[in-house]
Amino acid sequence: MDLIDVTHEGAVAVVAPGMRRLDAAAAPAFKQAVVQLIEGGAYQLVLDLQAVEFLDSSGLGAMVSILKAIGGRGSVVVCNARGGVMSLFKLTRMDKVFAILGSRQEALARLGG
Amino acid sequence: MAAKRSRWVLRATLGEVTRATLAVGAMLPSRLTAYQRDAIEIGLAEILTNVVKHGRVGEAPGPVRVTWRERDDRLEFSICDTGRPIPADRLAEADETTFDYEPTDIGNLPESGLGLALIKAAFDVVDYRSRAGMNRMLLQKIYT
Repeated sequence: MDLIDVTHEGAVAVVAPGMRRLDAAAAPAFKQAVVQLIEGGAYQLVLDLQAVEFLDSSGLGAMVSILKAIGGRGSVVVCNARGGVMSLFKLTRMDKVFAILGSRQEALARLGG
Repeated sequence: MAAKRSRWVLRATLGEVTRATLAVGAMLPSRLTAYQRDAIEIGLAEILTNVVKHGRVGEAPGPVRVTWRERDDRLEFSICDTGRPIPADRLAEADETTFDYEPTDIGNLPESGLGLALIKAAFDVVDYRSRAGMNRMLLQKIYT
């Protein structure tokens, strides 16, 4: 299983984690894979969480690291967060940090992809 | 009704944390809401991850004993380990104010340190004791 699945829509890279549980066991490798993508020039990112069923603070921390890695060079938009994944964003107030949209199409539209 | 009870002993590794939280998530009673079940699964993942990442730095993984008990009015977990204890001040300070960061200040957003506050958010009772080299966290979710 790949750590991430990446598709390009114009200038936007859509990143889908390859794991159902983005927890402390998976988060470091996920973060490293996405940061490598950013270092390769992908500054407009959609994180598509469609397949992610479980997210803990380590997974959330990885997403914050990704946001910091992009910094002022671009944007990160999250889509397809649901159930407990969405609840964690809200509980930790990370829904105020990340733009979270309902579908990949909406996320791409937000980034102009 | 007699209390239902299960016990696991796992090695303090992150892979074992994933397996244990998956197993517990599948056992949580349906009388809990989906939100409560999600929060409990996250809370357990956070305490077990804490034991692995901070309790045994530079040491071989030790055993962690997880006991699950369902009573008439509450669900109870006990997590026992022999690693370094959680500092009392860190546990005391972890509450909902942990999430009071400035969301637009990207450079200062927390990349870690949310776990203890998530444990407290998930459970009604959080009692942690460390004595004679044994740590025990008691977590209870009271049915409403």
